[in-house]
Amino acid sequence: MAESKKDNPPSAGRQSAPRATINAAADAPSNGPSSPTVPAAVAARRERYMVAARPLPGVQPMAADVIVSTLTNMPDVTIVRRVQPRGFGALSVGGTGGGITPEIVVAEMDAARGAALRASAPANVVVERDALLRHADDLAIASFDNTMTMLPGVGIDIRLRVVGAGARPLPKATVYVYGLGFPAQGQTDDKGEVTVTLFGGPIETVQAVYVKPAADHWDRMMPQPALQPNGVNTVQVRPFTDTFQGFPGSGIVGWGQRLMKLDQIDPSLGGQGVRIGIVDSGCDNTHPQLRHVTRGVDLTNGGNTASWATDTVMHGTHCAGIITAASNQVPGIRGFAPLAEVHALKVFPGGRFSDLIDALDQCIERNLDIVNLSLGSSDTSELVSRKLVELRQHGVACIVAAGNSSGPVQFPGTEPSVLTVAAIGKLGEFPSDSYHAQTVQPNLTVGNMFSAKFSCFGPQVAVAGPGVAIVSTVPGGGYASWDGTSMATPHVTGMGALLLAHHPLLRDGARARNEQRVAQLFALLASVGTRYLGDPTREGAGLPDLQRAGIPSQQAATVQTASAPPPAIGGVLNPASMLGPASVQQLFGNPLFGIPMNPPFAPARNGTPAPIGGMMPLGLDPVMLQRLAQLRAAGLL
Amino acid sequence: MTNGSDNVDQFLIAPASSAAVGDLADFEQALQAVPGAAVLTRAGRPDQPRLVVAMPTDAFEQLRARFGATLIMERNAPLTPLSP
Repeated sequence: MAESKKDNPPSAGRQSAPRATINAAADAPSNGPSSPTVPAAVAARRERYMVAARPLPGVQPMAADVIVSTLTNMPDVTIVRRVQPRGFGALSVGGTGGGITPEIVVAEMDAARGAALRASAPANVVVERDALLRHADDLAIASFDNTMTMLPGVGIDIRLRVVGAGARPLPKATVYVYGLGFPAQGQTDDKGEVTVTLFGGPIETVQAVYVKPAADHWDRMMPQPALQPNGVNTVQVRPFTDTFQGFPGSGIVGWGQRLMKLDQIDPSLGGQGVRIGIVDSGCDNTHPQLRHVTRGVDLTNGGNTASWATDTVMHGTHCAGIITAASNQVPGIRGFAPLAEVHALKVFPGGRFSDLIDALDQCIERNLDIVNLSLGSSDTSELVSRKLVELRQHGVACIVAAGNSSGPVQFPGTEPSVLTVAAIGKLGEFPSDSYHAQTVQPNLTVGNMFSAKFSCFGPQVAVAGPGVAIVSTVPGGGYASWDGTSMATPHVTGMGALLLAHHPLLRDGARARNEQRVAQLFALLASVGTRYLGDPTREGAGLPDLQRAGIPSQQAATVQTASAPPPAIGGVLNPASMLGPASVQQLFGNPLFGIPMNPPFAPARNGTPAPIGGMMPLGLDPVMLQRLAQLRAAGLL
Repeated sequence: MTNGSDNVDQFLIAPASSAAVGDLADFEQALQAVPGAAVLTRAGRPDQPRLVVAMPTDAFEQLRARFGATLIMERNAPLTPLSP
């Protein structure tokens, strides 16, 4: 772990505007040396506490001098003032109403010290926060939310400077300052500086500063910052190279991809022969890892066949990196299926249901095999629902994000014709002062794994995907770490593409794109899931695992593609990584003696019948049955 | 006109079945009588056409009462990318 440093700033002692510096995270996972830090003048804002004797019958009150002495001996506590109130009446020390009144000692300390002091205070001592007073009309405002409120007062200009390693200014970083109402927002200029105006109270009402760098750095969430009203407040963010040494010159495999065993499969298996659609904000194919993405259409621009490569939202490029980033020019990140044929179907910014239907029509026309839908709506659409059924009937597998509203699964993740993905995270994979840490739910954490706080949940969740602190490509050639079921979904789409291309039960089906193959793919993805949380409404059948799915490992390095002839049974596949009898039983029932059922769609959704995936038989085609029989005869099942 | 009649939104209109394709033309004819209404897009296959129209919400409700039995008429709602 890198260590944060708090040296004096070079400008200290000058007559220039004061500078407050907030250092980069000290506890990010790190494989390399820490970068030079910017000198710090100020850390997190300290709180004020009132400490006084509490009058208790029969108990000797603690003398004020003892309180002062105790606090003075704490090196991180500063006594600000001593208050001698009068007229506490019967509750006064001495209990007579006119006797000795307790002296209140006001001291500054950090929140952790204050909490410790409160917890350790004896019964005859009061320790409480010397809270900021608010106007009466502010009292209903919950802390740190987005309540729509007209706030009185004059705006405060807050100047911030965002720097990375070596105090290098970072342009185009988005800065949010959260006060009592709407957050103030701005973007840094070429000097890394921005001025934002906050309304509603003094600078002490600032509850948090959030900095989102444009690329190549962790974001930073700074609660209770000690901001200077008249100077430049410097916030340092940590570069990815602190965590991933040599990145992107040295490649990384994402934490979620490692859990899914992407790093353990034969690297020559890259989704060859499979066609993937990404319905999103386009894909910047000038990124060194995405130059092989050459097909797309911009449905926000009259079906333009060039402007899909301009991604102003950045979201589609991030999803594309997870699915298909290639390491031809720079190792960077690893995509699941760099050899697949990817189609970018642009519907953002401004996408509506009609654009989604247009994009889904394109998926059919382009004979796509699998489609990533990292999108949702608070509304529902019968026409979109029908179109998704049509895609499934055409053999197009739609992988859909569950939603980020922390509630029930959003449309179209509610549809029985699709595979719905919730988001999980892993502790230790992001700095504790990044926004990623805000997504942790302590009551939904098991070991190191947690259900992301934002993730939607419900019986429609089929599987989970890694959706917190996901590093992927962004326009301009860089990388960013994002959260969302949007990020979880491409992991499953990418794995689905690998299964379609290389799994012995599915790869030949690429020639027969039909509904059965979609059902089989969904069943396979669910059957090889690893549950971490024990809550199927939040993780479905768990996080799919490529090794459990029987994708050949690096030890069994023989390329298998959708167009390649099927290998001799047992000659290529690693028996140890093949589906075990139990999982096959779960997946296909008894393929020789019964009608296979599709487990993940067993419950009816929202009271509606599950016409396609639900309790309908899978109906394996003869080729599949023959393949299963061959596998069983070879002793692999 | 009631309050809120100038609240214009986008709507998706499509036949509920292939037998109702003709009703879409009737709808479009009726739409011409609605002040402020416009067809934004015509899309879909000949056997599966759809319209995107802009019109006041109260006019939409009136037309839905008239055509809702044979046409699917719904708000063309915005979509959101799902990263916080």
